[in-house]
Amino acid sequence: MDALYIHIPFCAQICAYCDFAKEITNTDKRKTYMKHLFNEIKSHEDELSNIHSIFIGGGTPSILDEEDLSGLFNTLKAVGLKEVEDITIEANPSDVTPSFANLLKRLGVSRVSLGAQSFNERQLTFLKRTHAPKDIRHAVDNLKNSGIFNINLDMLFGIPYQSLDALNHDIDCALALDVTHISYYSVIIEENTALSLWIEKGMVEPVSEFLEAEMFETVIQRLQKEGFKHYEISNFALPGFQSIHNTMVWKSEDYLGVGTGAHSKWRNKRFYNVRRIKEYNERMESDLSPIEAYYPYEPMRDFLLMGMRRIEGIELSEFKARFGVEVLEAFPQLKESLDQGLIHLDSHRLNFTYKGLFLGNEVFMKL
Amino acid sequence: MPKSSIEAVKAHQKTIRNFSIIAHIDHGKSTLADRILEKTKSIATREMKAQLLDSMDLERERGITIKLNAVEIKYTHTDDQIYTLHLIDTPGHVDFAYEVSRSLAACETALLVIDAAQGIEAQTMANVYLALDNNLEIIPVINKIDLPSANVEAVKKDIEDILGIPGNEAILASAKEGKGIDEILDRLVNYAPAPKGNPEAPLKALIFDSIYDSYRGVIPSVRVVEGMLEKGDTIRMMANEKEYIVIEVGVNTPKQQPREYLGPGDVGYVVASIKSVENVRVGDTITHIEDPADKPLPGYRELTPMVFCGLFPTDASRYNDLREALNRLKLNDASLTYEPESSQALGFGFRTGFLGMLHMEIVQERLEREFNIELIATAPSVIYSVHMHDGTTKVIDNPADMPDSQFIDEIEEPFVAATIMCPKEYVGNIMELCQSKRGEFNTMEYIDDNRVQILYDLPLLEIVYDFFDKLKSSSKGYASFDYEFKGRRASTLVKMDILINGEKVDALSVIVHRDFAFKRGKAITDKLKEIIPRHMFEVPIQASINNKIIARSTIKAMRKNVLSKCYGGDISRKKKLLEKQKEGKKRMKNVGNVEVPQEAFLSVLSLDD
Repeated sequence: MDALYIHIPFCAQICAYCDFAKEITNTDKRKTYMKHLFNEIKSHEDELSNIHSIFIGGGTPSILDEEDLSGLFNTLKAVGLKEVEDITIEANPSDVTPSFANLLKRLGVSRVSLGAQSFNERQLTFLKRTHAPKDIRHAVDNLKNSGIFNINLDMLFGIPYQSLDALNHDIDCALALDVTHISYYSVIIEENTALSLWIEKGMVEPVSEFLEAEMFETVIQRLQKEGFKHYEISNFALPGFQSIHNTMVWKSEDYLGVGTGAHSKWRNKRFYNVRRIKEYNERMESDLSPIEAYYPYEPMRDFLLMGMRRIEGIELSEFKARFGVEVLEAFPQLKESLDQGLIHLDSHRLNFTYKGLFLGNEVFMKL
Repeated sequence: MPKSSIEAVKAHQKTIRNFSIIAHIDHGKSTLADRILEKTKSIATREMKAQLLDSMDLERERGITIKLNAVEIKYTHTDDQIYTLHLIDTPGHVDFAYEVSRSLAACETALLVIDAAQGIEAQTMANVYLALDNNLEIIPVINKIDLPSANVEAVKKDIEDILGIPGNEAILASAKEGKGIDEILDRLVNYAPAPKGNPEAPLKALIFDSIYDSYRGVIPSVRVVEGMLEKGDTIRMMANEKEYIVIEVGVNTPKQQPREYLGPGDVGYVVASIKSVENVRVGDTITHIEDPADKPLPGYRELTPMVFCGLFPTDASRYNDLREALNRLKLNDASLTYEPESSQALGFGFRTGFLGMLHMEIVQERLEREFNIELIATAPSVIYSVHMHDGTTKVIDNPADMPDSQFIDEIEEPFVAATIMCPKEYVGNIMELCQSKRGEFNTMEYIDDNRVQILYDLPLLEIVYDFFDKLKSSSKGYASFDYEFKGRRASTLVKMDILINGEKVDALSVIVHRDFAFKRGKAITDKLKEIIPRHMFEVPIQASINNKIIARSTIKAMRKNVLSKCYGGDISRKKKLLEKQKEGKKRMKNVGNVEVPQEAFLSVLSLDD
């Protein structure tokens, strides 16, 4: 089973914490990009027969207009992807008008991931998000009215100046919207973001490790109590609504990424596309590959780095079947992590303990 | 040598001018040297790197001279006579005061460079005294007169009042703009004395420097004072009686150029297949085996290191590389000493001795830069004389070796005589600082309406610790400082141990004055708490004296990592972060089950106490 990732690198405003490939751009450039994106998808026509999941991410895919989106879905149909049932698109809450929600439904989108981040006005402003808390509620309503019920909220904790009370309020609001899936990420100070600059200049104080840990615990306990299964370090779903696409990535299935900055693990290779829209367009214009570089594919290590993110961890039998060795033979250094109580091993699987979920790098670093 | 040749030597001698440039750091010594070289066309300007005499990268970067150099300049004066000028450069730092004094001993004249805006500083005074000790003619040069803040009249008055040299004799110059260079050359020719010395007397040549050449061995730089030095001569080093046959003599232009001989007043080099730098001691006298000089030139002394630290390779497998590198540096630097040391925390390394703090920094930096050896350096220490109850005396240069206090009668530590100059408004701050550093006040005098000279005796230990930084901050950078070794005094010193997670870390032991122990113990444990990363368990950091805990801080256990999301399947970023963390771990040292970063071993320094 394979997955397809489609990157839409446009944004109306750059969020303070974001370091994904994205640019603010005009309509002309966007149309040119979309044309080339369709061509890139078409260039893979022969390889896409086994695609079971499509994820349209960004950037801000909801910035696309009807023409762009119809063009994209027509292209997908043209390369034989009309039967794919799992299609997720990311959306900025303020973009999800009733008509946009209806458009998504009409095109065959099965799941929408809303970049909610927080329900606190001041925090949204601080993060340089363009939406207000009410936009999130409206977006969810509009999606449900259009017939899309499989909705994810992307949320953040550990936002500078966020209190534990504010977090609890965010969780209350998220739960009240009755969605199927919540991704709860901690704010990461990535290089080359506004946030890292603020912190470097001493304008913003990052959240302490201890508060962040307390927040993570709060998120886990509260969501679990409301029936959400904690199935990946940062992901929570109602029964039957785990992200199919991301689960395929974590399970080391092949995925092909198209568009700027998209990463692929495809037929025993790992590679990624150029990040800049201009360069991407130029390359496609000249019939050149958009791939910027290949990087080492380390099947066993990657299998663990990705697989251990799932709360279930990895299945020992699958590891043995794929690589012909037991996991502890391949990585005897994991015994130390076992002794430290960070990971758990039984006759079937290897996974993080509750403590280990907080300290994953201590294990990953040994691999 | 035939009579006619002797006459030629004597005639040549009259055209020689040997001079040094002395200055406080940053007063423009090297730029002035460059301009003199340019003006005399000693080297093609375009070939000249900025500040050629400071030939090591490090020197250029730091803008200071570390290694001495001498260069011969042919200068055609307005009288059409060709003069031979020898510019003997001197290092501009207190660590190298002895080398400076030997360089000055090789000259008849010193150009005293004073910054027109800064005026006379502590080092200016120290250098003037050294020059006067060596009986040199002093030509004052007021440099940087182009600066808007230049105050030439005030500096002239300083020169007159403080140095006792007529201020109106000072040459006004701007080395940067090439002003005053002609006048300097003219003054050298017309006022600076030609070297004395009889070519027919027994040979006395002063060694003031040496370089190491991998093909030709150690090559001393010499100033011939009496007699003649020629190829084929058999020579003797008077201090250690080593004997060599001279293969080549010559001068630096600045390239080595062979000559038939070096006569009195000549400054040049001697190649004699000398294998060890130990045998070429700065300040020693070279004479002939036959018809030797009856006594050496005055002023020779053996250099002893004042400051010690442990140097350990980060990567234990590079111990032999480190030994080799130290060996190579020592070829050019007789004052560097080292012997093997082993530490429970840091493994195998070397206890290394230096003339001072700058010397230490330079050696560490060269080891890392030129030999690519990553180092962990322990906090610098001084030498203690430890008198034991049983009547014996131990010399301790490593706090870890300090005997148990119950066996110690008394500990003596080195003191220096410090000269500090500063504008009068900082006197209060500086005296407070010196007092807090256990200083003993000697005297204070106004050198002019605004500036004060303060003399204190200070423990070298405190200077090694953080005196420079503190002096800077308590005078907004306006104070200048110079010191010389004064002697040893008994002090109530104690050894303080540092325990990480209950384990004593030998490389972190320090010697402190009893009165400062609590405060410093707290400062060190707090600093280590900042530097040592969190572990999966709580890590106590303790300071103890005689096994009694006097200070403690605790590193809380790690709670949560930053876990990147691997979104969109980008595993490469995650891997890069993990690599970076792994690299970071590699650079750490294990103390029991605690990983300690390298900077921790220097954390006992530069505390904000």
